[in-house]
Amino acid sequence: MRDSLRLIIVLTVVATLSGGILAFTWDRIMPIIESNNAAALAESILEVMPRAVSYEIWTAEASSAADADASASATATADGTSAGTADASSSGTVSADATASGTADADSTATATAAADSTASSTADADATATSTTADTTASSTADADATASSTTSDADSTATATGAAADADATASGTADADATASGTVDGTSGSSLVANVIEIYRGLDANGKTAGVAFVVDANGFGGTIRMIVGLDPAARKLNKVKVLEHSETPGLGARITEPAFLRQFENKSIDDGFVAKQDVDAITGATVSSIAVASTLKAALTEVETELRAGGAW
Amino acid sequence: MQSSINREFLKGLWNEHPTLRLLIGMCPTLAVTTAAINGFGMGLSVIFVLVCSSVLISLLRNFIPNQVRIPCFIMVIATFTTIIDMVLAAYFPALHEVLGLFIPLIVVNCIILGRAEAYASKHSPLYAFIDALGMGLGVTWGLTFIGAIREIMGMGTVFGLPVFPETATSWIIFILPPGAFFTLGIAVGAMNHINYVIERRKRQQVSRPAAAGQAVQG
Repeated sequence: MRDSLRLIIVLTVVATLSGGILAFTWDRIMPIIESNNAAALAESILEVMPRAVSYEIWTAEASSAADADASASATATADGTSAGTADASSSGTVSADATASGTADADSTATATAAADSTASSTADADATATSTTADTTASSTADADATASSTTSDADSTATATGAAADADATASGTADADATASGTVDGTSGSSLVANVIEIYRGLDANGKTAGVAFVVDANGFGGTIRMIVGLDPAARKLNKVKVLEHSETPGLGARITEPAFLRQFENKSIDDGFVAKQDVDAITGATVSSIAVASTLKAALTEVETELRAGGAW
Repeated sequence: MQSSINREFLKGLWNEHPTLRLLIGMCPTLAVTTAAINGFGMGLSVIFVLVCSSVLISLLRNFIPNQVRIPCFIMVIATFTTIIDMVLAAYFPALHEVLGLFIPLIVVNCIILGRAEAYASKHSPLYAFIDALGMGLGVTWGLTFIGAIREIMGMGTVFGLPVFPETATSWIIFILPPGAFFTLGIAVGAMNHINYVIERRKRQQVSRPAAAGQAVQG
């Protein structure tokens, strides 16, 4: 009896020690990793749209309500060194949107408010003081379903969003909630997005005058070793791909991992989106990595079709 | 004292080389070594985990009872594996992208648990450190060597630099899993042969010192 107690104590002590070391490192490393990821995403978005100087997260409402566009794009201006912080602030405003529409939608479904709630709290952690307080108040007001509190916060942010949400409350809730999930680094595929599952996010590139300068989207393909996450830039007017970049993958090193090499990805540059995207026909597959190559090519084709449909529905093509 | 430290350090580099002599830690040896740089990065990660966990386990060796030593070792090893995973992700994203899949596998690597069990839990922190460093460097050169051979044969490059002209045909099978077994088998065989030759030379020098020169030529 005494012996087993001693064993348990030793195990607990060792576990606490390990956990302590881990927690210490975790606190110091995770912000770096998160800001790295945010900066890399912001950089990639601009990289695949050569003519764009800034971008915004595209939703059907954002393209119809001009005021909401302006506020979103103002904060989303990301270039070079300030990419990380710019992205953080953009996610802040977007999350404020999400909570506003979430409260507008408070009585329709339970899941919509839950999603808005969770994004609000997750961005509140990462963000500046002003945004976090508004996010907090809306989070609590959705819990109470208090109408006055939500209207003041939406006023504080932008009135255009509030009217847009009132006109099309359901769609706004799903679109912005999903947008926020990607901006904060985690992808919530189950937040009721109107996009088909594998296209994660659509971004609209803006040139110096605020005009559309291309479209970028993030898409997941099922590769040989797991999910391949790619970002694709496209030129809607010319119906051409600008550039494809692999963000994450877990393909076999030396084989499937060669989908990240320029030699493979360059063949998609300036490719017409009406092409077939069939590996071994109009796309050269990598020797020994046919599955990965087919996954990339066929997913690009499917995603392009989806994105075109989506953008046309929003009147932005 | 000095010579025993030297011996503890050097044994991991040749006589008790973990991958090529003891044949432990085969999972990363076979899976990661598609290119020299991958093997090198994996080796450095193993050095970090091996040194840190060996020293900590050596410090705790009188505190951990025999019955629960394996869970304790695994917890310590898992801690440092997670740390190296996060550090690579934060500071060396490019290397982490390549090795990402295999870093968590360090935790089940026989080399590290083996050293913890066979050495660190029985020796002082200094000796545990020396032993872990030698073993880690042994793993590093072993994986880099196998990776370099496979990269040269399979892609015609080493550390990304071309060694063959563009026109040369590369044997893709050396990048594929079978190539790992071929290369490992040849490397183990070569190592055994070298040891055999050294051993024979020593024996002949002891028995017939005068004829040593001839024996080497024969």
